[in-house]
Amino acid sequence: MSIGFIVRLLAPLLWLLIALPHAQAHTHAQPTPLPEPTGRVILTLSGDIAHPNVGGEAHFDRTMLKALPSRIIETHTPWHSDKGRFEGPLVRALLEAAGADGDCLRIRALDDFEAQAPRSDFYDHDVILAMSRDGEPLGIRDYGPLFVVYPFDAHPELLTEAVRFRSVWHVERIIVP
Amino acid sequence: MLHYPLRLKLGAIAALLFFAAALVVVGLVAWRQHALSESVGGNAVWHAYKLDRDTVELRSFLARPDPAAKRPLLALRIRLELLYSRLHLLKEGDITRLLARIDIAEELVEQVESHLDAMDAQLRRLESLDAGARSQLSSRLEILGGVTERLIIAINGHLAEATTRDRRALQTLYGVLLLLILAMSLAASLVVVFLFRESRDNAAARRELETLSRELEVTAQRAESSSRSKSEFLATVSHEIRTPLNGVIGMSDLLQDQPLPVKARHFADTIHDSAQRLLELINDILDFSKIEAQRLEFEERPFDLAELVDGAVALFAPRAQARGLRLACDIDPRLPVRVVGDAGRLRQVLLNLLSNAIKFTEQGEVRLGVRALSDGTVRFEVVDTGIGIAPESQRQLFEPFQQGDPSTARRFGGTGLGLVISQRLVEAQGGRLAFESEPGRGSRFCFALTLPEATASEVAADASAAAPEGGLAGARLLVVEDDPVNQQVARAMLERLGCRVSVAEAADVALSWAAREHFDLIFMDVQLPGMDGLEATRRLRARGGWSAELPVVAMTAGGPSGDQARCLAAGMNGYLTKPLFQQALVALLHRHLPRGEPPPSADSPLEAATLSSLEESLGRQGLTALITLYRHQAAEHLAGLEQALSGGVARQVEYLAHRLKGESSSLGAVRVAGLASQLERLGAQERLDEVALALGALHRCLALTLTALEAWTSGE
Repeated sequence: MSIGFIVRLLAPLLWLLIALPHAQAHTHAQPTPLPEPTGRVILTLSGDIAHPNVGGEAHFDRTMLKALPSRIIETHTPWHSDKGRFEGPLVRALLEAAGADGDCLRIRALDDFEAQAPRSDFYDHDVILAMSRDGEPLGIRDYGPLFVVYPFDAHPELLTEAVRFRSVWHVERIIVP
Repeated sequence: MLHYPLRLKLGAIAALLFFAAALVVVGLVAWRQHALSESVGGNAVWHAYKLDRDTVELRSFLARPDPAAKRPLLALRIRLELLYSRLHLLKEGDITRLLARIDIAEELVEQVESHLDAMDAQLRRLESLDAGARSQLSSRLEILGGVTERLIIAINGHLAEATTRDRRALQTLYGVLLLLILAMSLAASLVVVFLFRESRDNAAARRELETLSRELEVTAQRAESSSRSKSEFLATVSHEIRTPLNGVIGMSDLLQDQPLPVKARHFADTIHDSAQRLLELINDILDFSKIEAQRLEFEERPFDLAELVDGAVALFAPRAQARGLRLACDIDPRLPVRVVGDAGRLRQVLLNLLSNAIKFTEQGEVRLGVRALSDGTVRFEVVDTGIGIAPESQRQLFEPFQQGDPSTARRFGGTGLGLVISQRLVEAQGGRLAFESEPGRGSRFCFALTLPEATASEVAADASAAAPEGGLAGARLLVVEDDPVNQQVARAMLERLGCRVSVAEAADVALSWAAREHFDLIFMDVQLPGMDGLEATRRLRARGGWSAELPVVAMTAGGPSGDQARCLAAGMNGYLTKPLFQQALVALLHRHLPRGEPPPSADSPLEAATLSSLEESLGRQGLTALITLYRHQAAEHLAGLEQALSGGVARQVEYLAHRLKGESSSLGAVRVAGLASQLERLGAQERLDEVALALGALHRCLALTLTALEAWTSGE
């Protein structure tokens, strides 16, 4: 308990030390503007965005998302009976691609569910927007098309009500206030 | 910990146990709370509610189609997909475990699934969303709505029950915790109470002890002061008795020297003896009181053991003879001639034992034996053939004021203190008085004392302390004494010895006289009206000059050795106990009075009295001839002794020394006689190497003696 507590206490500090100059470096080192989507748009980033591609918003189709740096997370979740092998782009890569700034993200689902997540979550952990589970693309009935997956197994301390709440399914839009 | 009382230990253990139990319960509660926080109850209700709500919304979507919607069928499909995802959640998520516990839930979930599957199949077949399809789907959704509603109710009901159960369990745990805390508090309070009581008891015990010790102290002080006042009383009484007794003894002593008719002499003798007996009695009682008060003082001075023993026996010879008893004395020849110890106390014990032996023996013999034991001690033994002591009386023998039996007291008299005093005296000198006795056969009393042999330096020191003997005639003495009877006694006794006596009745008078006149010696009573004898002596000493050197002898009635230390500390030279005895007086005068003429450096090797009497009977010429003969004989004996020594013939040494002793004694050559006697003993004990040393001393002493003899015959 004590180690987790200390980690939680030190996390903002670490963030200030490491993440801030990191983020600054990226805003300057983002030369390429976002291309326009060619396929069906499955994710829209709106709000405070530096690199919009469609009318002040950043729209992504499946191909664009697949092009972003991704991770594979093998973990159990509270919503599956078995361990799954989730794959998808890193949320922080997505935010950087869209030039999204702001400390807090509002993640909205198809069913109008909305949760707020601090930006630090995505820099502290390899949180992904899962597009497939065990190689199968996620359908809506499988919490798709995009599903915020935290590495629960690697970091059991993430198994809290708050993080569960931020693990949004049916992700359709991310609003950067 | 081991010294604490049981109740305290039990209390502490109980408190600890309760504390441990409370910790366990707190752990249980915490674990329980944790389990609750992880429970998915809330989620289950939420998801079931969402399922129900989505169903209702889908139905209202069907009932009121949005005219703006471009692709109502696609929107419917997405909504159904979402519904499906809810179903997945119920079937696969961790909620499933909860649902498994609710009987009806699984069945309901299956129903939901079948309805959704049916609608899914129907939607796939549909090309467009017409009114028929709408109503068909709507009616199915209505049924589904009923199912989802039942699911919510079932989950809620289950959760309500679970919550109630959990709360009850928690309440029980809290109750137990409360009880344990109460018990723990109780145990802790008990421990506190016990500790408090313990410390109170301790404090009380300590106070009690302090009180007790104070009381004891007071009692001890009271006892001590009572004992002191008893001793003072005894001293006073003895003084009061001794003063008149002094008169009786002194006067009867003087009376015995007068020519008297036979009858009057008999009366005088009786008076003298009775007074003597009375004095012994008082001395006994005083001795005993001193022993009881542990105020005995012992001397460490060299003395001649054989002389002491012979003297003691000789004292009883007339009495033994009168009773027809044989009185024998047996001294171990291996014993040293001079030993160090308290001769007075030893004599007192021997006299007491001999006196008892003679008193209780009708016929047969009384024998005093002195032996050297292998451990270096000297064993004294008084054996009689008297009436003995009955076994039942033996136990009480050393009890004060006890005699063999009441009839003994009537028949033989005495205080019954003699043996007690003897025993205490022996014990105080490091010995133990033992006895064995058989009624009708006799008794044997014995004790052993450590009497180390006197070294040459000790003997020399003692000899110098014993000042040269001198003629007493013409000595000027001052007697300071307030009692008229004692004044007369002292004056009479001293004048009989040829001294010139002045009597002062007070210390200040004595001091003024001593300032005017030269005295050879002062007898000073200690208890005087006004200034006491001790203070007078101190003032005398403070004057310096011849006053500081003048011998002052204390006269007290305080009993033997009572204030000796105080007297000596005040600057007195000697100490005399009243009543005065001729013998003691003479000895003391000899010791302290310087010779009339310039004294020789060492004590005289000759006894003037013997020579004078010889001269009286033989005439000057006869004496001179005798001395010439002695000179030859002594030289021969010495030569013989040298020869015997080199030949190693101890018996010859003994024989020759014996002859030299006899001849020297008859001529008054006491020192030569003493050395010869020593030689005789050494010869008997075959200690030849020591004989060589003694022979050297004898040579020197003989030369001195012969010179002194020449001086006598030419000078006198």
